[in-house]
Amino acid sequence: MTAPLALADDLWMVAHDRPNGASFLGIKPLGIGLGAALIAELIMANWLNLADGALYVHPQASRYPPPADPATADVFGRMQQEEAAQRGRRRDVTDPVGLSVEEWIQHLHNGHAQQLVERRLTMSGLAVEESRGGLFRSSRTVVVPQSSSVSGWPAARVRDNLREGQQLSEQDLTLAGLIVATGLAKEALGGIGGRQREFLVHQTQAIMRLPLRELVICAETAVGRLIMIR
Amino acid sequence: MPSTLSTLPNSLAPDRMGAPGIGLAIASSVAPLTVVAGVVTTGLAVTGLTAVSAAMIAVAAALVIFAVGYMAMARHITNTGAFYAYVSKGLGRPLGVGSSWIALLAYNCFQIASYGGLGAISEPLFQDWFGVDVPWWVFALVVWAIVAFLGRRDVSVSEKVLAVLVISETALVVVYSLIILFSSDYGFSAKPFSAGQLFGAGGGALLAIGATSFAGVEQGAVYIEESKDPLRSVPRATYYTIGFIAVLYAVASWVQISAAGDQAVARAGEEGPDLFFNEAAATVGGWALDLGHILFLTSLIAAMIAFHNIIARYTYALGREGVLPKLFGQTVGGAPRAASTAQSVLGLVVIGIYAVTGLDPLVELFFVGGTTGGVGVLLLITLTSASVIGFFLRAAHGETAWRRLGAPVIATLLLIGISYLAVTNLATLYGVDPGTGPALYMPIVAVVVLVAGIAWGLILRHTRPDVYQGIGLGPRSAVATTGGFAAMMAGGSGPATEQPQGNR
Repeated sequence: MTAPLALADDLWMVAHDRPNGASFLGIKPLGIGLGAALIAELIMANWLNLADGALYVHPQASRYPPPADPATADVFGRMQQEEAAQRGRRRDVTDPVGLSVEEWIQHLHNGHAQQLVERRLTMSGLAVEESRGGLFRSSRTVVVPQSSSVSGWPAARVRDNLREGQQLSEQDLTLAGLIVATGLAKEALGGIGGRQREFLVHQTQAIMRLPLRELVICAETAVGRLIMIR
Repeated sequence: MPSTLSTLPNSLAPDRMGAPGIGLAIASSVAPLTVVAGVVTTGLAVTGLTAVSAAMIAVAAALVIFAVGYMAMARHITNTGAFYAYVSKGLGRPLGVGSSWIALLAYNCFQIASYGGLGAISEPLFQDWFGVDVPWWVFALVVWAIVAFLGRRDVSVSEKVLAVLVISETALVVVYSLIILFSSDYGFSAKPFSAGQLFGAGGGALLAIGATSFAGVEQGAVYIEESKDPLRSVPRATYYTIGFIAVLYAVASWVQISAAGDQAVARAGEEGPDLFFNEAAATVGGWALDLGHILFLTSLIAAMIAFHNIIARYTYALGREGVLPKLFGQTVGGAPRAASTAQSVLGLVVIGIYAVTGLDPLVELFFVGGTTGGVGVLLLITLTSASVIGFFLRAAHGETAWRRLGAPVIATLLLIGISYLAVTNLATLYGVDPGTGPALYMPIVAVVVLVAGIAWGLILRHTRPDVYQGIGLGPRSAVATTGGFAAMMAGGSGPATEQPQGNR
């Protein structure tokens, strides 16, 4: 497989790269990672910008057809609606309206982002629905990676590039950031050693745009907050 | 920030809690049945004093007034669930570190004390039901393993389960109180309400028991950032919950003590936590005792899990800030695994020591540990109340004079009075001679921990100014020295070094 998946799909695969296809992460931290990844996809495609904790919808966005992919289109549509609603409440309509990225990550984390990503993955056949019966619970449908080579690929790509000192794409750097932020580093990257870590920091500073870095930090803070409200 | 998403459909905000949900969450860390059956009876037996209802009402009154300023300050800071965040902002970071260590000590006392209570209740119960004599620490270890496993796996008891437990244990307290109240030989006694006793010899011990009984109500502030309407729903939930629990405790203690008449102290000593259940069983039959035992156990287990999680996230926040070793700030699969493990190990060591030395699990562990935790939390609340004054003296933050000055000043004075009475009556509280046993070493331990914490804070100020700046910010600490993404980027340029400062 050579064509990389979308960022959120990559992250989903990293989180589910286990023999039984279950997630390393709980629903909420996974949701934070996936929500941030969907927002990152929109930022990388220039639909959104992020500055000082606020998301800004591209001023010309309404002139274009919405994002072709249903997952990001869903999130972006909601953001446009919210932006329009906030604009309607204000007198000064020329100022850009910022949406709190922290709030949006919070709102996407409780299963919604996961649903969107899993729907996208099952449509493309990269993940499949499976019925699982537990010893103590009735059977339920879970989404698991189609195969372990599919789920192992994104983490292996990041790991190998880091190990060999090869340049990473912005998407893979964001993926690495979200892996660290959600607490998957140990499982996915086998912990990052001193030299690889230095390389990752260097690459991130050289290639990853500030809005994406800020987004990853917001996701990390959100995961931390989750622990504080258990 | 809370207002920005007011137009969003509710489906996008399934998380948001309203006042009833927050009230239930608060009540579940308070564990009402554990207090009514366990703390009140053991307190009677150890102190020999009966003005329990008066103590409950006095403490509740101080707490409600305290909550006014506490909730007002919570809207302007981050890491709202942790007392040391308030102390750091209001009275300075070194004292903040000191109070964070006191908090860890106090919450650990509570959590580990519960193992003693659980073991002590389970042992006779198991013998009754199955005729097998199993030592108390076996039951403690079984539950310890469950708590440790759930903590490591980031499984918290679901809100629904907690709600069912809290509602059923509260209902049991109400129903049993009514049964006892309307039993044929019930005689009213005014003793539980004799406020004069609070100021007399040993009265401070009752106030300490009162403080122990309410520990956990401070947890409401955790939900400030998560609630639908932080200006109203969390404060409202907190006031109502304190008020409701105060009435519940006052009435249940009054009924329980009245029913035992002159024998209250003696019976509490002999029957322990069974007193309340026995009084109800005398009218309606033995099933009342069994049902009481079952709910007492589930209530204790739920409280243990709640306090384990509180300790784990405290430790995690301190690890994230770099105040404790950074190992504690790491998460594995979304759970603060090292922080959780550390608490479990501590619990195991204490259970082991009590098992080997043969100390009494109910009095020496459950009661001594629980009330020590209670006094610790009382001191923390007092410090926090003073911090609210300090915080709002620097800036009003748009709060009314009552919220930022009036209520905090009154609350601080009341709490200092209660703390003074509690600390000067430690010997009565523990049932020992003054200056001996826990009455001697508990204050020494507390002072040493506090001073060591303050010293550590001062050391950080000089050696790690970046860490020092982040004290009290929890996961939002800009240094987050944990091997996380923010920490990795902190050496470089860009927003990582400025973010996330969080001036909320």
